Amino acid sequence: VRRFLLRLYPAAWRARYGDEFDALLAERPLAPFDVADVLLGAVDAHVHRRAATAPASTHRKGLTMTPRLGGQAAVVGGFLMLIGLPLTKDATFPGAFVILAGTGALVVALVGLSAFQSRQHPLLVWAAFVIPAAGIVMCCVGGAAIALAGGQVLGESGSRMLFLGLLTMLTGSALFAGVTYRTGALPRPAAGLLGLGTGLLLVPMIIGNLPLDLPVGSGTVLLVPLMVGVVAFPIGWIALGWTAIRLDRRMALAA
Amino acid sequence: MGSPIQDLGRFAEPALLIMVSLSEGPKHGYAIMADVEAGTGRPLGPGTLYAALARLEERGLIEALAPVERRRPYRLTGLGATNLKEQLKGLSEFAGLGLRRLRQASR
Repeated sequence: VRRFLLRLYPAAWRARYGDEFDALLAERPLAPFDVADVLLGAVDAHVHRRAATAPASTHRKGLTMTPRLGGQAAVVGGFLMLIGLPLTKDATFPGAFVILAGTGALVVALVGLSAFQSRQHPLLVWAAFVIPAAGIVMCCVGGAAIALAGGQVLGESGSRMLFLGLLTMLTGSALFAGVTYRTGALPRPAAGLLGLGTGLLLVPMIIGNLPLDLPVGSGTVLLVPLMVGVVAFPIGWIALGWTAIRLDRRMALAA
Repeated sequence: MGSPIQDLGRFAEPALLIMVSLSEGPKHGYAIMADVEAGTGRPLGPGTLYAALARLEERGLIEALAPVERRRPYRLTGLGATNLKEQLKGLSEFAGLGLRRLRQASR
């Protein structure tokens, strides 16, 4: 992975910084945050190299991975989920697309907000990122296949794929909430709310889709935690994002 | 145009943190990252670190020393130290002004 990341930088940059940069990447396990930051750094190195040759260039712009970016993605993703989750009943437009966009934003949030958690629990953080990321890819590929083959974007298969995508997002969120609560990297009440919301959504979704002979009236019992989860899950993400932006802003003000 | 640090735009913030870290002596990349994260409670990614180091080196605010094994230490130049002092003095005056106003408002 290190060799691949290094190859993304321009040759002139590698000649100057490559060896020490490789040594730096070898110092500790790479987290999703670090990989995203290196990818953005490689883009910046290409752009900066061009800008450096242009007259009067000030090289002021650049791309960096920061908790602020993760926080903004968490707030956006949370709001999209708050709108999209109640609309997903039949996996029809626009609810399904709002959920897909929300899931994409929350994957960015997982990367941006997991830097410190990954120092202690790198495997859990990678799992929290990879599971929903794979879910998004599956949903997008499946949705595109249906659009090309059947002339419609979402049908019964689309509904199943959306369910799968949501399940992967919830699994990733549960892992992230657990590891954040344990490390205390972000406020524990917000992580706890996200964990609670995730659990309240996951359990009825899984039980409701298992081929079980549920007793009469159990649907209503499952509906109550589902409704609470529909609100608690996005609010948990928004709370985590908001606090991350606030914490990051303190340092930004100093510079 | 502001100070050379402010002119770094989006990289002004990590550059300032790196320069403060180097103000106590030469450090290599990983030591800078660890020091900034410990001092600020804020993660500094490897891509951001080297993007800022390259810009600071171009402007003559820091300089690279001979590598030790594969790690290359960096240190502040005279120009870098002067600029850092001015930047921190400005921030200190601004913080002082804010605190004075808060004290006056609470009376």
